[in-house]
Amino acid sequence: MLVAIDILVGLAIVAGLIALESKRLKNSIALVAATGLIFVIASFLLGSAEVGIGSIVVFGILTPLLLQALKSTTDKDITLTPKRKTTRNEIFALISAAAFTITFLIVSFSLLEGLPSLAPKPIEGHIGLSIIREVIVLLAALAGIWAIIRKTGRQDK
Amino acid sequence: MTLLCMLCAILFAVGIYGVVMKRNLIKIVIGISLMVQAVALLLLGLGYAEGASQGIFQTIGLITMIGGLGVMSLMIVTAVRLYQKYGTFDISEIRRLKG
Repeated sequence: MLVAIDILVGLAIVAGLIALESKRLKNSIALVAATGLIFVIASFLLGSAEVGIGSIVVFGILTPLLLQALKSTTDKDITLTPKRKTTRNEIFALISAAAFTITFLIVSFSLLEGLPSLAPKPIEGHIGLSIIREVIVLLAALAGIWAIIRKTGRQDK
Repeated sequence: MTLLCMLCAILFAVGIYGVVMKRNLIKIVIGISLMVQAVALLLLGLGYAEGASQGIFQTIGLITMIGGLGVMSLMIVTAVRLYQKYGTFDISEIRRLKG
């Protein structure tokens, strides 16, 4: 059963990537609906009928909402955002996200059966997850303070 | 199970890529949608791996989806309002203009 779920999640990854890279927003929205359908099937396969039904409702609302937003705003159904260079902030954000994902997986491995713990004793298990949670809260607070006090990027004058 | 965790992490990373790298507001909403799906799928997968005691994982997964819908609906409405004000979905263009 898990093999089928893995294949479905793989399809969702591909659909998500195409949705993000597609030039036409209608295609992107259709692919989001497709990922929703994949999620619903995966939920039922995982024995979570409630989540599956809830997801049908969620994507049944989200897809028409996106289509309505598109219809009520732009006539030209093409993303007219010219290419540009990746900024330093974006690279920093991507590296931070990758670092968080790797750290989270390393700590989570010890919670899964049959896998060796890659984290040292003091930070493995639930305590490690708790530490990560608190560090994330602190980082979010720092990011919020930085966002409030920064001056660059504004052109009020 | 490990493969499912990895795939969920990749799906989450794709969502982060959409949020960080894309400038179109609708694409950012799509990125958040992918991130929500990844988290909910991971929770359901963990519940499936745990066996019979998966009620709590289902509950959290459902709350994640409903909360995600709320956030995305609000973002879509904000995007529409921003488009009506600035005439574009491009966030760098919106940031540049004086509001």
